[in-house]
Amino acid sequence: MAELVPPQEYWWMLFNYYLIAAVILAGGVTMLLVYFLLRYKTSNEDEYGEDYPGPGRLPTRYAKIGPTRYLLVVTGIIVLGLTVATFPYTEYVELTPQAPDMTIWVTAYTFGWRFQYPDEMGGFTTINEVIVPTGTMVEFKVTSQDVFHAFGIPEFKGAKVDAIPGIVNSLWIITPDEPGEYDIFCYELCGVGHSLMVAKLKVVTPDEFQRFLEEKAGR
Amino acid sequence: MATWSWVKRWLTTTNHKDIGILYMVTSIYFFLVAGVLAMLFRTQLAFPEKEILIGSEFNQAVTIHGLLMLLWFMSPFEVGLANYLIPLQIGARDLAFPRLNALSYWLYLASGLVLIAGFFVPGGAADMGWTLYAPQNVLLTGDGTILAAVAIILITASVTVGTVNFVVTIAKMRAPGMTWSKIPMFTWGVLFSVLMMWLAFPPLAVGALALILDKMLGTTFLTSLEGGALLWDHLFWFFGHPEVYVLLLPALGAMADIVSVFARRQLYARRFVIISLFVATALSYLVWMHHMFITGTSLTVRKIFSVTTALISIPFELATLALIMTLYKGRVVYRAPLLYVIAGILFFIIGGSTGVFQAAIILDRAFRGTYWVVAHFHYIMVGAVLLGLLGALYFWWPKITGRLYNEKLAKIQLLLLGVGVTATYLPQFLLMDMPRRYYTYPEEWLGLNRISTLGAFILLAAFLLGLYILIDSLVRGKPAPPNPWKAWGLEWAVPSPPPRHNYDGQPVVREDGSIVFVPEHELERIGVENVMKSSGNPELAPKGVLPNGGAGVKHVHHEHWSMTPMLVGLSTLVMGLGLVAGKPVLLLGLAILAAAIAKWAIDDYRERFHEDEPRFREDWPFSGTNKLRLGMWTFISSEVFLFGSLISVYLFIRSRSLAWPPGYEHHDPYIGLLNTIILFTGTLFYSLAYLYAKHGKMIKSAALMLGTIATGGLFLGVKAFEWWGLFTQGYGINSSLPFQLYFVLTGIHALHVIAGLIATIYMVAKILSGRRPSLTSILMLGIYWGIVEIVWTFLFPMFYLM
Repeated sequence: MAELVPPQEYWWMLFNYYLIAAVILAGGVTMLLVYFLLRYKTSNEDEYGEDYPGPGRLPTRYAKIGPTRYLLVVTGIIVLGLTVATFPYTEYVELTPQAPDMTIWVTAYTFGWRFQYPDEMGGFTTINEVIVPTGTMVEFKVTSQDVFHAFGIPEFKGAKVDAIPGIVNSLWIITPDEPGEYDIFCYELCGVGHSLMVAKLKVVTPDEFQRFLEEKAGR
Repeated sequence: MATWSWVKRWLTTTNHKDIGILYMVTSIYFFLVAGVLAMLFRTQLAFPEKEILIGSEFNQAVTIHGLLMLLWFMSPFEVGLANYLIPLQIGARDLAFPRLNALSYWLYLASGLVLIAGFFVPGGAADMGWTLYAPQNVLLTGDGTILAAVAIILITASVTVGTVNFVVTIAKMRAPGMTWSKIPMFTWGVLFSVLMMWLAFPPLAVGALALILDKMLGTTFLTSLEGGALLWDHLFWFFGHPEVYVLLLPALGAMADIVSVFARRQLYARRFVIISLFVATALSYLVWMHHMFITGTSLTVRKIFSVTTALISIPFELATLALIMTLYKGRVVYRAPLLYVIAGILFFIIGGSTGVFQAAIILDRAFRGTYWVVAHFHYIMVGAVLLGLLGALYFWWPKITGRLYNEKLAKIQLLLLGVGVTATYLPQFLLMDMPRRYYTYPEEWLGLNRISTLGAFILLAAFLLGLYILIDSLVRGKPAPPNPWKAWGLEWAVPSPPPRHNYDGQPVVREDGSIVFVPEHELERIGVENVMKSSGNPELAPKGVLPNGGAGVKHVHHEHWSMTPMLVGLSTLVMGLGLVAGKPVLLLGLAILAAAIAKWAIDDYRERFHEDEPRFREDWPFSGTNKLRLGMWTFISSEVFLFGSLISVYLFIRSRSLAWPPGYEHHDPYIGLLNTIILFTGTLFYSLAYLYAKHGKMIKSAALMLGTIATGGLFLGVKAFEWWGLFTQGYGINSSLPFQLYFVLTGIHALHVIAGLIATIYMVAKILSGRRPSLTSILMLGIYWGIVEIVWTFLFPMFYLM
């Protein structure tokens, strides 16, 4: 297997860039606002700025636009640039870059998740629990048998797709090298049991995974 | 007796200020209901291990909270303010169509009551989130969802009528000298807002109709794989995203005016702000799919929507910067309304910049369905829009009520609001993994949720304090002078509260920006142009310029009122409830509707309802058209959008169907062609009728209209024959999708034919009894027939040939 970057690493990288840009821009604008407020404060109600129309009157001409337009161009380029710059990463996340090590079919139903393992591993199904080995590229093919759900594993940022009847959406993750347990939630209100549609993603060592498969085959 | 006349006044009023007050009071009632629901589910979320409000009840609370806040509180509150203020701001005596204005209000009230009635029917209110996603909205919900769909259709009718009114008023009813460059930003904001509602609501109404049919008549638009979840997504979000800007723009406009007043500066780069808001209005129709980034649609399409979404942030950046730059070199006085607006801008910066994150598809994958999204849009909706609107309320309150209020308390309230918004919504950004609408959740999120709930209670305290401030002002407030803020604008040149007819004398905006109120005979004597130039020229100065809005000089004002709008509203309420309560109630509602329409026709026939037409006005570039004509065109465009949405539904479903029998297998193309010819003939008759009317030959005109009535009736007869044939073959509205679409689309078209027939019969009756309908009304009915005709020329090939 070629070394693949786990999608969530790109997600965090981009999120941090956005956060930095947002803090600088929003913070700058906020400071400007606060500065103007303090600098031009007055308690004299009858003092008017140069182009104020005056009480009970109407403006006669438009106020001019000054150097702010350059600021606008700059922020516009930043916002558009940031968005377009994410596209390669979006493609990386969405278009599975290589054949995954294993593909698990996920069917959402009211109110739970059914996971079907690949045929070569036995083709068995599990409910609300999916066990995968460490360091593996796992693809989930997600659909729904009844209503609109959404399948998401929050720990793996960006690992989320809608589960819609008649549509198969896929996502892939690279499981970490250490065993662990992760929550799977439903991210679309699907009915009374929405809050209870919680499943577990269990990442286990390859040995343990092998034992799990044998146990399933033996049954 | 005094009480009765008071009740009667509010039930029959058609005065824009009364209706504005009705709108605002009603919207505040819905706000309180939605707020109580929010407190209930926030309490549950503070104690996730307990079962205070769980399951369907929890889902009902979040659903109705969202629907009420957006569609029945914020938007109508803005419409209420607009109702009260826009005629005052542009120098009109009322809206263009006062009776339709009352109708908008009563439809709005009926729709809200229908929605809330959901709590009292079996299965409870709608409980699938305010987005009412398919197919669970059909499969898993009770009768409350039907009521929610009815409520949506009714409010669509309400906003469509309202749009017609505001567009025509702003375009046609401005005082002389009130050029487009002079109208306040609030009026601009409302104009853009109604322009968005105008085209965004028809698709939503079509979705709601599909929902009702699916639940009641067994169609499968929203449950089939061909339509289903994605069809609803498109219909809903085509409405849903513009709706955000529908709410935002009037608030932003008001904020701009308020900043300008208290900074004692003109709004910075005013022209660019107007242009950028227009750009945002246009772009708002092209961003809806960013709500569908993970539904699995084509990546290329989503990239386009990602870019449009990033683009739409730029006009709002400009608006925000303009607000801030307005303070530059100003003389900023820290009055309560300004402070509310400043807080609104601060929260808008946070809410807006987090929105940019969601424009990136990859980032949105993680945000979708989480509390990050909740935090983002509450920062916009509560932080920016609601605070901005409160600022607007505190700004115009003295004008509306004639009372001052306790500004110190208002500032304390703002402090509470600021703390409340931050405590409630900031933790929700950190809950960026937590799914929305979970009533119970893992331990790790407990702390942040508790802070959020605490914040919600602080907000509650702030709103209660706000209510106290307002009531205190009504009871004990000092009388307000006409212009307590030294604000610019026409509304501040009249007394507080303004007299019932707004001004004696005609307001004229002079070239130097001053406003004079001139008796009409003086205007005639000197000429409007000369009055506008009269500021520095004593020779041209009109005699009898009226100070202070011309109070004290007699103006012949025709008081108008009508109870039919209320009756129509009542009938829709009864019919809406009747869909769930059963046939007798439904029939009762229909009877009331019939009575109301008859009464409307009789009133119209007897010319009982008199509207003042402004004699002097500024209406470039619409001088060539009259208000009825402009209104009808606005209405007809929304009809075009309604049918456009219906046809889009057809195309969407058909393009996703694997097999689709050609139309001629079940529908005889020759009969279809015959009906096409019949309808064409009817339109032709009507065109001739119009030409005769134009030359004053009313009897011949009426005779040709009778021809239209005959052909229209024949068309319906043939249609009934076709339908009957299909029914006897065992096909119905719940057969396969091609039949469902056939019955629904041709059925809605037939309803339009029936409406046209009723109007034409009325027109003929009016002519034959010796009254002369205006040529415009004859023309407008003709254009209506033309639209009915054009729609049919689409439906005929869609169902009979392809």
